[in-house]
Amino acid sequence: MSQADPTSLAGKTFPLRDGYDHVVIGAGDAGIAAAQAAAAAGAKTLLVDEHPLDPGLFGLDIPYLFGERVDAATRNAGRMEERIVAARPGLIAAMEAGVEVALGVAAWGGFVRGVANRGLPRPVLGLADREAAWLVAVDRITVATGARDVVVPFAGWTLPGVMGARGFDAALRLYGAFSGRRIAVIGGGALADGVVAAARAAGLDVAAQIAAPTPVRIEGREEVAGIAWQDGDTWRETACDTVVMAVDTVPMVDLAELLGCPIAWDAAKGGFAPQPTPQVAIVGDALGAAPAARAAWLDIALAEDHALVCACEEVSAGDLRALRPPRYLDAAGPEAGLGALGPLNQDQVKRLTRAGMGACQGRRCRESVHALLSRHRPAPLASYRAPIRPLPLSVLAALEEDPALRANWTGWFGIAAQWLPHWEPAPENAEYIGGRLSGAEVVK
Amino acid sequence: MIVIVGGGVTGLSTAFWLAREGHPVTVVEKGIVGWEASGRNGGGCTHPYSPLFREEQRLWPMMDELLGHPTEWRPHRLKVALDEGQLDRLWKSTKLATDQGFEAAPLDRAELRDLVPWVGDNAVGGIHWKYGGHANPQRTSQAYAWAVERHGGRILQHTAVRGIRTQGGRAVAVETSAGEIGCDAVVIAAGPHTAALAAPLGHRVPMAPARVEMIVTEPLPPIAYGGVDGNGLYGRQTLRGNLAYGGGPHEWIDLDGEATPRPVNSPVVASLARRLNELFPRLGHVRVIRSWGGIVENTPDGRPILDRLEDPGNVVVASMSSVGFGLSPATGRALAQLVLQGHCDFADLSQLTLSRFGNLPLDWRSRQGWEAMPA
Repeated sequence: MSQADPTSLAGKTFPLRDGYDHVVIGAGDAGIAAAQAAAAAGAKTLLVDEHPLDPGLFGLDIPYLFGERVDAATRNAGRMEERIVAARPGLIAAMEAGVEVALGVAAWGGFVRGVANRGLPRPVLGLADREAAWLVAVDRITVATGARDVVVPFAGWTLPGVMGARGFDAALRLYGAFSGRRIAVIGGGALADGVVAAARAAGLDVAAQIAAPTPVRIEGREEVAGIAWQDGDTWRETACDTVVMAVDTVPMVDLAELLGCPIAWDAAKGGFAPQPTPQVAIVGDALGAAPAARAAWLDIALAEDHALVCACEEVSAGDLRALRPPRYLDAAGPEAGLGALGPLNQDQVKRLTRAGMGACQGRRCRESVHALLSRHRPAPLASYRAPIRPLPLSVLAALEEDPALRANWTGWFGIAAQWLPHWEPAPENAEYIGGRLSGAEVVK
Repeated sequence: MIVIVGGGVTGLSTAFWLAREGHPVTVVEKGIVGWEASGRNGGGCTHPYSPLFREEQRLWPMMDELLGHPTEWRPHRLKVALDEGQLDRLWKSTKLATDQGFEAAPLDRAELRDLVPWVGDNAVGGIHWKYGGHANPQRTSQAYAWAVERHGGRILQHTAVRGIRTQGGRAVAVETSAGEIGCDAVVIAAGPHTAALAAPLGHRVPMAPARVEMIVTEPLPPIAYGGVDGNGLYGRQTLRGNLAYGGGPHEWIDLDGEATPRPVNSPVVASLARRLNELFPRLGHVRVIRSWGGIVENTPDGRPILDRLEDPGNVVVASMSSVGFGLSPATGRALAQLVLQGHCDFADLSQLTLSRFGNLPLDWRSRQGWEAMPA
C-alpha cells in the first residue's frame, strides 16, 4: 500500500489523558463494590460518577426526572461533593483501597474497535467535567450506571414539581436538596413503597399514593398544586407540591450500547437489558432489576391523543399515531399514520416526528414511544449516540486533538476531482486517480 | 416492471420519476428506506460542479409539491471564512456557480453578523450564495418513498437482493430474499453494495466504502438562512433550530457481506465540536446532544457513475460517490431517462460512465491509500 490517505483516520491517534486497567462508571453500591474488587486484585482502577451534576442538567432532567425540585445548593459543586461522599461512605473505603475516584465526571462516550472503527488499539472512554472533555484508555470496563426514571405522560406531567423516583431519591438522599414538602406518589410496587418510606423518614407529608393503574391528572398552573385520580366511578383529588412518578425504572443502557454490549428486550428485567462482553461487565440496576411494571399505566395515559409524550419537541400520542410532522411544518402525516411505515422502528419514527430528538435525549419519552410502537411486537431499541450527556461545544472542544488530524482536516474526503466540473474529464494522475487536494487546500 | 435495487434517495427518486409517468416500479431495500447515507447527511442542495446542478436548482423549489410531503427545503447558502486562505478557496468554488449565471455576493464581517449572529471577531468575511440550499434528508427520503407508493409503485423493505438473473443479454429477474421479481429493466443504486451486485453481471464498479460522522446541537432560535458553513465543516441550522455539522477525517472500511456495518462514532465528534465552536465562537455554551455516523462510497475519482450498461443492456448502474442527497431530484430524473431512452436529455453525463475506469489497476484502493486499516 502506498501512503495512507492523509485526510483519513489512518495513522491518526486520539490523545489520551491516562490509561487504566479498569474503569467503573457509576458510584452506587454496585459500582463501588466492583471498583474495590478491581483495586484489590491489583488493577489500576478509576471510579467515575457524574454526580454532582453540571447544574444545567437538572433542568434538562438528565439523567433523572428532577422536575425542578432541587434547591439552589446544587449549584455549589464543592458542597454537593461533600454531601455525596457523606451519603455514600463506601467511596472513602474505595479510595483507601487504592481506587482513583472522580466525582462530577460524566462518561459521555465509549469507543471500541469494530468492523467500521479499526483505529482504536484499546477501548476508549470519553469523560468530561464542567470545563473539559478528555479520553482515557482502558482494558476492562464495568458499567454501573443504574436505572433511570420512566415518565407516564399524564396531563400536567411537565409541570415543575413532577419527578421520578430516581430523581426524588437523588434530590433527597444524595444531594440533600429536595425542595418540596408535600408529595403524592404514583405507583404501587416496591419502588413506590420505597419513595413513600423515604419521604416519611425525611419528615415529608405524603398526601396520597395512587397504587393501581388509573387515569391521573396533575393540577397546577405554574407548578404542581395538586393531583386528581379516578377511583372507581369518581375522581378524587388532593393538594400537593410534588408528584413522584414511581411506576417503574429502566436500566440505563446508553453507555453499554456505545460499548458494543448486545441489548435485547426483556420485560422480566424492566425492558431493554444489556449483556456483557469480554471487555465490559455490567452490574447493579443497569442489568435490569425488576420486571417492567409500566404497561398498564402507559396504556391509560397514551390512550389520550393529547397526551404530551415528547416534551422537548412537543409531540403528543396523537401526533405519533398519525405520524404527523413537527408543528413548525404545519403539515399532515400520511393517511395511514404509523401504518405507512411497515415494521415499526423507533429511530425512524423519531426522524419523522422528532419524538425523542430533543435536549433531554429522549430520556423522558423513550418508553412511551416504544410502547406506542410495540402493540404487536417489541420495536427495536432506539439507538444511543455520543455524547450521551449533552455537552457544551466548549467542553467537547477542549478535548486534546492529534496535530496530524488537525493539519489534514478537510471538509469532505479531499479528492480534488470531486470538486472540479464533472462535465470535463477528471485530471490524469497515475497514482491518485482523483488527485488529492494540496495541503493548503484541505480545509474546504 | 422496473426494479430499483436500493431504497436510498437515488433509487427512490428514480422510482418516483418513473412511477409518476405511469411505469410499474418496485424498489427493493434490504432495510428501511433512507436508513443509510441518504438519511444521515448534511442536507446540502448545492453542487455547481455537477452537470445536474441546473436541474437540482430547478427542481428543489418544487419538491414539496411534487412529493406531497414537506422536505424542509430552504434556499441560499452562507459561507464563512476564518482566514484569507479560506475566503480565497470559497471564491474559487463560488466561481463554479457564478460562471453558470448564478449570483453570489461578498459579505464583510458586519454584514455576515447581521445574517449569522453567532459569527465572531475571528471571521474575515463571507459569501452569500443566492443559489443552492438545504433540506431535511430523513424527511425527504421518506417523502420520495410515499410519493412512489402514491403513484402506484411498490416498495419492499427488509428485502435483500441476492442476484440478477440474465437471459440473452438482458436482466430478466431480480432474485430477492422474498422471492424472484420478473423485470424489464433494473437500476442498481445500492450505495457501497453496488459493486457486489454488479460484479456477477461481469462489471467491475470500483468504489471504496468509508465511515463519516456528524454532530448535532440543541436548538437555537432560527436565523434567516440556516445553510451556513465554513472552517472545514458542512452542515446547516435545521428548521427546528438545531445545528447539524460534519466534516473532517473519514475511515475507509471493508464491507462484510450484504449488511452495511453500523456507522459508529469516534472521538472525531469532539473535533467537530471544536471546529464548530471556532466557526461560531459565541456558541460555546450550546450543548451537543447527539452525533451519528454514515457509510458512503467513493469512486476512484470521487465522481458519480451514472451509466446504462451495454450488457445486460437493460441495467443501469448508479453511484453518487458520497454526494447524492442534494442532487437526488435531478439524478432520479436522469436515471429514469437512462432506463427509458438510454440517454439523459437535460444534462451531459458523458464523463460519468463506468468505462472511464476500464484501465483501472486492480489494486487501485491500495495505490490511493484508501484501504481499510488492518483488522
